[in-house]
Order: sequence, then C-alpha cells, then structure tokens
Amino acid sequence: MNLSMNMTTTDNAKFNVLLVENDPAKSNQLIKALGSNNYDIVHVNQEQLLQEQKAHGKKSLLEYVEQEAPDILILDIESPDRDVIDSLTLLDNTSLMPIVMFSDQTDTRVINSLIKAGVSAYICGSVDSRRIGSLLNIAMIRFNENQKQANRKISHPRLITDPKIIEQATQELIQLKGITAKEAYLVINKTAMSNNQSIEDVAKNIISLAKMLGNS
Amino acid sequence: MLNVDLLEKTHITLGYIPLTDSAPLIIAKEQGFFAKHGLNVTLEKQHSWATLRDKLHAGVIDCASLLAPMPIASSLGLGGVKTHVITPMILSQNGNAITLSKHFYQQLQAQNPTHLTLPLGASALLPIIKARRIKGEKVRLATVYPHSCHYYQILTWLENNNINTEAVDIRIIAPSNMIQALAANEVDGFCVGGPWNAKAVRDDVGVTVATSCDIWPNMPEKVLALLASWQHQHPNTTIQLVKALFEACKWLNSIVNRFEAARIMSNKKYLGVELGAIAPSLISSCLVSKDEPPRQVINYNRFYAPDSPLMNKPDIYSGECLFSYMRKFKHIDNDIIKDNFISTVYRQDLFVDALKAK
Repeated sequence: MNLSMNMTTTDNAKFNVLLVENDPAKSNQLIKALGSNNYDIVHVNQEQLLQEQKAHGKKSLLEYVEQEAPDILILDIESPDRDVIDSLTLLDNTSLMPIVMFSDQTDTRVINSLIKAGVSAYICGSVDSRRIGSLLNIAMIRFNENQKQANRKISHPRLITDPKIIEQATQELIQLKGITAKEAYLVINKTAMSNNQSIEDVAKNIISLAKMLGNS
Repeated sequence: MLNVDLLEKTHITLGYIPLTDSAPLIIAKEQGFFAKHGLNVTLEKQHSWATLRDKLHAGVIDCASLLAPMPIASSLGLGGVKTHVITPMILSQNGNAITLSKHFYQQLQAQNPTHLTLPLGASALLPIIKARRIKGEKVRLATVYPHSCHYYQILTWLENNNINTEAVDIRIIAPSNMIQALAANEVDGFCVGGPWNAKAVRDDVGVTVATSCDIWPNMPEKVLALLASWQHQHPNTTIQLVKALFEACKWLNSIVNRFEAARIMSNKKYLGVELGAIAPSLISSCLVSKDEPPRQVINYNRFYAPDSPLMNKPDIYSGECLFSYMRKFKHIDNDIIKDNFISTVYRQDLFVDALKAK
C-alpha cells in the first residue's frame, strides 16, 4: 500500500469550515474544540446577518454559503436554518458540501440514536478536540461516497463505510505520521483512488498496518 | 371506561413546530383531553422540520405533528434516511397563504393596468417577471420546507396562471426569519402557515394576496406522525392519542373556543406571538394589508368538519392526492412505488379503529 502525501502549502492542510451558530456560548465552545491548527473557521451568526441585511442590504445566509464554498458546514441541529441548509441539497438534487450537525446535548443516548438513524454526522459540544477531526473526516468520506452513488444513480441500499473504521484509521494516521485531520482524509481518499480500492478497504489496511507497527 | 393498564406507554413526547395549526395538540394538552385518555404528553417545541423528522426517526420523540407530505417522504427516503413513518390521523386542513412584500405589491399595482382583485392570480406577476428577466433576475418566493403543501401550493398557484415555475426562484427560509426576509426584500413573497401571514400584515411589511383555500381547498395540512414500529409496539396508546386529538379538534369547532385557543397559544410557552396575529385565521378572517379590510375565508384553519366527520381520517384519496403533487413537482420518480404504498403510510384503518374503541 502506498500512503503518498504531497502537501506543499500549510493552507492546503486545513479544512475551511463554515460554522452557522447564533449562540455565542455554543460557537465559542465549538471553535475551541476544533482548534485553529486544523481548521480555518468562518463563523456566521444568522441573526446578525439578518440585521445587517435589513440595515445595509448585505448578503443572505445562502449567498454566504455560496461565496465561502467551505469544505464542511457545521450547523446547530436546533437551528431554524437547518431546513434552509438542507434545501440546498433537496431543491437542486446536488450537495455542495458535507453538513455536520452540532449539538450541545450531553445525552449520548440522543446523539447515538440520531447517528444510528442516519443523520449524516453528528458532533456534540463536549467532544474532545482529538476526536473531532476524525468525526469531520467521517462526514467528508460519507459525503463523497453519497455523491458517487448519486452520480451513478444506484438504487440498491447504500453500502456506506462504517464510521468507526474511518475514525480509527484517521486516528492511526494522525499519530503515525503527525499530520492534520485533513491530511489524513486526503491520504485515505487518494490511496483509495490510486489503488482503485474502497474507502473501507483502505481504512482497514491502515488500521492493520498501524497494528503491525505497534502504533496502538 | 378507559382501562389505563392496557396502555403500553403513558408518558409521551410529541414534537411540533409552533404554528397556528398546532392548536389541536396544545388544546389536547391544555384542556385535559390527553389526561382524560390516560396520557401524560410533553409537547416538545422544535424549530426545524428536518430536525423534528430526524428526532422522530431516531425515536428521541414518540410522535410528531408533521407536514402532510412528510410521512410519505420519510417512507420513501426522500431527503433523509428511509424510515417507515405512518399517520393515523389528519390534524388540520388549509391554513397557508401567499403574502407578498409591501414593496413588491406596490410594484404590481403600478405595473398592472387594471385594479388588482383578491384572491390574486399569479398572472399579475408577469410584468415584473418579464422586466426582471431582461436584467437577468428572477422573482424570489420563499417557503419553509420542500416536502410541504406550501411548496406545492406556490408552484400550483404559478402553474394555474400559466407561469413556468422555472421563471421564479423558490427558496427555503425558516418561518421565524420570514418576516425579516420580507422586510429586507431578500424575497418578494412567501407561502407559509399562520401566524406568519397575519404577522407580516400587522408588522406592515406584507400583503396577503391568496390563501391555500383559494389554491387547493380542504387538503390535509398537518398530520399526526408515528414510526410504524412504534405503532406496532404501542397499539392501545396510539388509539388513545388519536381519540384525545380528535376530541381537541371537535372542541376547536366552536368560535368561542377558538378565541380561547388563540389566547392560550399566544403564550410564550407555545407560539409567543401576539394574539392579533394568531386569532384572525382561526375565525375565518384573512388580514390583507394595513390599508385594506380583511377578507373572509371560510375554513381558513379547519380542524374538524361536522358535515363530514371523516375529515380527520387519513384516507387513501388524500394520500394519493398529495402523492400526485409530489410526483408532479418532481420530488418522486415515477417508477419506484408499489401500488399499495400509500395505504401503508396513510393508515385510515387506525383512525377507524380509534373511533370504534372505548
């Protein structure tokens, strides 16, 4: 297996994240958990946007999303804007980016059942910053898999990679190579493409390789 | 007598979006209809249809008041993970309206040689649609959710007047942001449920030009939704839920009671909107604009029909009707549906069972 990496600039090593959250306490909590090493975060407060729009005719949330073209969008699951963001996919039948739901609910039962029910990816406010990178990678990989299936118009039930495997492989790569979450994502994706393997196979290979090297 | 011991579950969580047609749920709670049927129901206020749906799918809540097309969308896996959701009861009909921004309405008046009459046909929009097309712009209309009657009603309104739906930009905006979006001219108009139409008029930012009664009257609007598996595990509880909500719908048939309902709903705990924006549609009055008298719209919010007591029955016909709109406006592919699909989602049998049961 060839785990090649050609990261040249530091900017490329970070995900661009658009965070839509009106509650400053929640957004600060999340920005802190994400950390600035792995992510370039643009924070949008929709209430503030509407006020500005009313007063100076500035951009709407959708225009913001189009202009920023983030790698990932993080949205509070309790936000009224959830339907607005969802509609980007539903009305155009194309997804622009993976959407990750954020919740400050500490009840893990709730979060686990939502993940089980297939809500794309889900993070909660109290999650530690080490794990958050893996969770965002899961979102990216699942998004790509969905896109591929949508393009091929496959109608049989979706065979999506188990998120636990992606998470573990991401963690192993970060520790093994001392790289960022995005770099780990790129490695997994690129390896799958160049070797014509599924994401799941690549992730499994990485995990067994790491075990062999005594990484975990 | 009700035998409470037969209930599989007595503490129930019911999710809803705060709107005027949430009345049956709020009244069943406040007037003790749930309690009478042995149920202790907690109403869980939500702010996004997709999140409400996801919580129902995940079993985080027991049941929900959903937009009538949503159980069909869930059961087909449209916009989310395929999950078998059913409805044993229709909670309301009608209740939506198209409100245009004051600014846009003034433009319409200036562009149309004849006096505008209400309900307004969408053909009045044509001069502005054409003028914008020259500038490479479109008329922008908003609604709250794709799999909603609002969305299909606004498209029907355009199509009935021979306007190509592609000529208009339809976007989704959260109900609580609609008024601001209208005031900021981010959109030229919207199709939503109460209290947002009357609120736009009260705030002097909008003119309500047509109601859903004028577009397609007496179609299901909100339905009680459950997971098929939940109903299977809680058959007796389902029956008592339906009975309690049906009694609330009947209670809401009296005008005096509707005032009382409006007063209760204006409470911050529920809608938190002024009485003046909630009450009109409940008493068949459609506020038009600050400068014009209200228009009488019979059955603007309909919860119960004394002359056709099966209004609340989720019959196959209602389901098929919604289904045909979903297909017409390309939310559903033609070839993927089994013949008896609708009867597995719109469960009229459960409603009939509930009426027969003690």
